[in-house]
Amino acid sequence: MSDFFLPFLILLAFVAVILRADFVLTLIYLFVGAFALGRWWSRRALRSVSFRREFNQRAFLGEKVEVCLEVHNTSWLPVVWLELRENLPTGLGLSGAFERVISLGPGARHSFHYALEGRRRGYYEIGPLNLYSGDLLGVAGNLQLSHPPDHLTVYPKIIPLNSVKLPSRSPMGTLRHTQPVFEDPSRVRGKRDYVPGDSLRRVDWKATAAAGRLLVRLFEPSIALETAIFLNLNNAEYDRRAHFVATELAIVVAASLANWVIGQRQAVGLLSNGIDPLQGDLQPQSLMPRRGRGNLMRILELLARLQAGETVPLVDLLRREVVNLSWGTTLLMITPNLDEALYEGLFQAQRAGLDIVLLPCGPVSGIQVAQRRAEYFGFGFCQIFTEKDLDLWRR
Amino acid sequence: MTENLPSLFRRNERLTSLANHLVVALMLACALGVLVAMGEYLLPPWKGGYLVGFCFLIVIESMVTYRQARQLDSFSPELLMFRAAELVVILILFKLLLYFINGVSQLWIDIPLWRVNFLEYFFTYGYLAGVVVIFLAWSVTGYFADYLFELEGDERLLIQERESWLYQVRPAARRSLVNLILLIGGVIAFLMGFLALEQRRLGVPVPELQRGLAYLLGYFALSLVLLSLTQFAVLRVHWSLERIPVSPNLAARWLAYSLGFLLALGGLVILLPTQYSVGLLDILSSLFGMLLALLNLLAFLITLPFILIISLLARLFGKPSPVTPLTIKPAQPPALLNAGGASWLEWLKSLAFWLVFIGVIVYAVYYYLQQHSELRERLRHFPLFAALATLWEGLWGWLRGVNQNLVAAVQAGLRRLRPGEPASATDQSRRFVSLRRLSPRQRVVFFYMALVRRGGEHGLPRQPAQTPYEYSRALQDHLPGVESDISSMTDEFMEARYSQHEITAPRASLVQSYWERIKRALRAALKQ
Repeated sequence: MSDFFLPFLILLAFVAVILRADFVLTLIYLFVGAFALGRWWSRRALRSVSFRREFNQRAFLGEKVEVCLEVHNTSWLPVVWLELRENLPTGLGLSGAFERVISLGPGARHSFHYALEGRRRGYYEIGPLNLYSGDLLGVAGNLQLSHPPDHLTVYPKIIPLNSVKLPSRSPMGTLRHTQPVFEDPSRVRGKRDYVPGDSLRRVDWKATAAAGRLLVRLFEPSIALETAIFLNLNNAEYDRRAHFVATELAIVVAASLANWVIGQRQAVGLLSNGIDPLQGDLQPQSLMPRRGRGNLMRILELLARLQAGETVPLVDLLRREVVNLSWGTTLLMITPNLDEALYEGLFQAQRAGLDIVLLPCGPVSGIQVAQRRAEYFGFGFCQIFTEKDLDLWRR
Repeated sequence: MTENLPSLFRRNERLTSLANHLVVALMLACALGVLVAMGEYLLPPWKGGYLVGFCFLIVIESMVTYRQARQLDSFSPELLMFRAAELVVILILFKLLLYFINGVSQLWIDIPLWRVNFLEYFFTYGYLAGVVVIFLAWSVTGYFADYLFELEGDERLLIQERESWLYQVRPAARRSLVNLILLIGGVIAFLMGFLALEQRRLGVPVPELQRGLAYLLGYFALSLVLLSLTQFAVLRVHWSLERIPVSPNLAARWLAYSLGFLLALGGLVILLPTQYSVGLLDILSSLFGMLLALLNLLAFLITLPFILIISLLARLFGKPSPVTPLTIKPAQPPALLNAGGASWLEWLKSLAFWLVFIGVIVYAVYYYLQQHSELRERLRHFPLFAALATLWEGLWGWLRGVNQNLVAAVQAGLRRLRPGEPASATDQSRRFVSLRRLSPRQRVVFFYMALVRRGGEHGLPRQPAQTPYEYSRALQDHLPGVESDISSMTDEFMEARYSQHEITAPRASLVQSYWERIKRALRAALKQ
């Protein structure tokens, strides 16, 4: 505080001892007491400040999230001043930090509210909350206390789709199909007269008895659309100039398709070579095909978190994961890179009984050659340049 | 979320500025009160009590006009005129005040005399002495106002600072202000010390001393309030520049807490002893005597059973006891100055005084060294200081160890008293274990558990979910140089703990050597 402070105190101390002057000693007590008491007070008071942060930790794109911060002084000592600095990420409406300065009385609580807006999908860190305080005289210096951050997940954009045509060879599902080879004996469509060659197991004996002639059951063909979405987020495989837009578009397409498949009560999985900040390594992220809204939410959370980066090529992921997929699963390949190696991998997958649909996102070089090759191998193909191209499946 | 600078700045401004000005005025009035008391003692017929009140008003006026004067150019004729007019008005007001005190009739007597010799009859000695004091107050106020303005700033200045990114060094201004406060305080404390000496010399109470002491204590108490307010001013400007919204009632609360703090401090200071009748050396010799008496008593109690046994054995053989029990009288503390009943009370008072006094000195030095790390580093090069520092660190470490052991022992005792509560794993590990009684397998486990415990004490605790191998990797990251020892020790532990393989004594000794090296590395890491 002052360069003369210690010499001043020592001088006073010696004067007090030599002169035996009470008042000098009182002055010493006053100063040293002020410093000691100030330091003790500020440190103890800051340690007694507890904090609570409440907010909905998941939000859809465009949704507003109200954050409530509550600080509570649990001590009987007041906190003279308390500077709160809540670090906030960009992309949530507020830039930089949420900052306030308050004074907290003994046992007092103070609540703050601020709103965030999920403007971009992502996995955001809310905080840490840094608390700064100090003493009345400024002798203790600024004290700091940090409280850990929480996380907000903003789901990616979901475009509602109505009529996606995806091939499947999985029989006995819940989706109607046109090929009679996928007839489902649990879905009776009607009856007709027996013709020679019909299996006796198809004969409806009750109806035959009632009608007085042989009748056989007609079954509705159905398929199960088990879908695995392969999402390529390897930056090296995207066009450098448009990789940000293209990867975001790819994530939107993946989210929309997953939503549609779950809406059809079918199983869907997500396999991506993107980087998950929660995992902290470059290992590919795999969510195997499952049914239900819970699985959709897991997929959306993963899609919210995933980041593009320099990771493993998609074809490596395909080769590794394809053996874990059941026969007849439909692979949706969301990738801009349609090279020789990928086709080779996909052809092997097709031979293993999987259906393939290629969904190149963003600008793709040699698109016509790639399309011809896909037709040659019998892969589905649909290029998506922008979100508007998804309108094809919205009609 | 962000507000504009002026609105942020204006919050709390009026109250803090008013409080700052008022406190400075009161402080300077107190300081002048000491001067007046001293003057009254030195010039017995002169009475200058009225000067304190008048100077208080002068300081207020000077601080108020300071901001107006700042708007004029330095050394400009306008500024000189402004200041000259201000001084003339003050001097005239002071003259009128003197007439008011001495009686207005004196004015009618003096007016004709001014025509005869204006300088002689207008500037009387009493008037001139007062003018000197007033001029002193007026000048010192300028310094205070300057520092306060630098600390508080104003809207225009803050906007300039924010736009230009050239910020004032406010803590430096505050340091200068503190220096000024200490300088004035030192001078008036010295004057009071002089009066106290006079009182001791004369042996009769000096009334001026009592009045001066009241002013002196007032000055220092107010200086603490001013320090608190200036700290607030520094923070307030910082928050304004950072555009951080501040609670509107912060200034009022700050002021209230400052007063509360001062009251609490006052209470504490009143309770602390300020007198002693027994000197420091006498206290030390008394304490030493008590310690010796305690040791004598202990020795007596230890030897008593042996003496009794020997005397009983001697009786069995019908012979007189060869050993006559010694009656060791505990040493008495040395006689005190007054041997009466009140001497112990005096002794205790003096002990409390010296304890508090030495504590204060030690704390002040410790705090100073904490604040000046460069000085601390420089002092470490001196062998004496280095030896003292090592001694202190050793003593402190020993005290901490004793404290921890005591706490652990008390907690363990309490746990034992509570039936049904199982002892924790920590207690088990802290129990005294004789290595010689352990089998080689148990010794290996013991050394590994010691590693885990010591690692935890050095900030590398093993997490509940960590396997020994995971913990080993974590330790290796923090303890370079002993990676192979940690790895080998973990392997040995795994084998000893989870296999039926035979663990031989040489292997246990090998693990002990690993542990010794790791222990040294842990200590070295702690010192760094």
